[in-house]
Amino acid sequence: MLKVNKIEKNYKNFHLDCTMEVPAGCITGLIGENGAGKSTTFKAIENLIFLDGGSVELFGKPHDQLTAEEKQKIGVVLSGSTFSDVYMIKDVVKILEAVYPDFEKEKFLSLVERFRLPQDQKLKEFSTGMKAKLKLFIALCHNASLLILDEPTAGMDVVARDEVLTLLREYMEEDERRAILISSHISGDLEGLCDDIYMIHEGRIVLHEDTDRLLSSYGLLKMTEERFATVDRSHLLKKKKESYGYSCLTDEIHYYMENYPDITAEKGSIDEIIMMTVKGEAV
Amino acid sequence: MKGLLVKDLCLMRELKKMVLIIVFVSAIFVFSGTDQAFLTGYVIILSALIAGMTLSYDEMNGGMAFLMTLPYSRKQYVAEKYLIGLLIIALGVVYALALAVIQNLTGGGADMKTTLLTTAVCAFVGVIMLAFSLPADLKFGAEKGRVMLIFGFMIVFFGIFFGFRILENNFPDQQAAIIRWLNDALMSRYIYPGCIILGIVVLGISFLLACRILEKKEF
Repeated sequence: MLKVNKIEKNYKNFHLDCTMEVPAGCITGLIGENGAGKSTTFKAIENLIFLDGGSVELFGKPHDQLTAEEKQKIGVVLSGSTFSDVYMIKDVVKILEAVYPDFEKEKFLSLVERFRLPQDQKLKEFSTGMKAKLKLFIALCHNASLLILDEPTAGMDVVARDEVLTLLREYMEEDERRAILISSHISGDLEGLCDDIYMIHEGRIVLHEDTDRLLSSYGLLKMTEERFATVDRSHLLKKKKESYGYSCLTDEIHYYMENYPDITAEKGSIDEIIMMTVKGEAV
Repeated sequence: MKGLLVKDLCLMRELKKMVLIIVFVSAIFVFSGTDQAFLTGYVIILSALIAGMTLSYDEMNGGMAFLMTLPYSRKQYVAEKYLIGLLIIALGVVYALALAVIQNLTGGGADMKTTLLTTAVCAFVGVIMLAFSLPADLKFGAEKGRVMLIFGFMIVFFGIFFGFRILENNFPDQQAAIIRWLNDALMSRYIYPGCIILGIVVLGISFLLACRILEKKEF
């Protein structure tokens, strides 16, 4: 459904070089620290910035050659960009009705009511979380086949984030040919939602893995220097010097748990995997 | 393009204050015997500025990037801005004409022929302003674009003013000839088709330029 083929974008102090794919039926996450290139990748996909190399395909077509009907099938949440602050939700409804032939007005208004967004207040009076919800409802309510969501839960509290993630699951359950590309700086959001996760660092994809495998097979090993000298390193991805010796990131934690009982092995959270991927050295 | 038009029409609520000020000030002008050409120019030129103001609302909240993800091409976005601009100028023209007729009926105005001529020339100036302001607003942002437009018109105004002064002091015959030619042009039967054709040409060039600017812009 979405293919990003070796896209390149050069800025003064930043180089994006990214390849990824979002197949139909999948929720794919993109994670990385601030400035890693997540938003730049999203903007490149949405043709908001021009590529220095590579290509983006949406629905099997170059992203700059989509028809209006094909564009209507994409729901977008952009980080830090939405309708002007002077509109009210009732204006947004009028606009969306005119923009999208498939706009689901009743669904939109029921979400607005369920999440207690005021219809007669200007967006400038909305909190960051309220704006984030509105942006997501706009993307969700025009029968899109693909959602491209850059930080859709930014500014939301824990309860709202959970409800919103449920909405995304429901969206996928409605039609198995749909797909979502989502980024978040809160890795917990993605752990429970995504089928696979791409990790981006300094403009490059440094890891791509199924979420299940990431959570079950990846982990941290803590060992002394002596043990590190003798351990089988074929499944070690990164190492980091610590006061006690080394901590290492592995993608086969069970192998080490079974064969090296003296090594402390901990299943990693996505945050820990990011930290080791970014800060660790090559083994 | 319907969605973009609805978006801009929803903005008119925000521009209500400005419209009320135009109506209030123009009403004072009508009954205080202000020169009709000034009154017509005031109404139409302010109308021409409103299209640029809708663009500055689009830029709010980083909104341009989001608008570019809607199912419209960048060319359609530009076309809608010209359309809404021309629509607002047309409303300004109708309102200015209505004011002029009131002035004429209350005995403070000019004859109908002069009123029509003044309105046509002001509408032409309004269209030219639109043609200059939209590419500038898209290129530099609505706020900077508006400042540049004002500076641009000041340069043109002072250029013409000082040009005439220089001509008057050094080449009085040529200056008189130019004034005669301008008067003839204004009174000629070609003034209306001339304004229309020139307006369309300038708008066309401006539209192509604005499309090119937006198509090359990153968000």
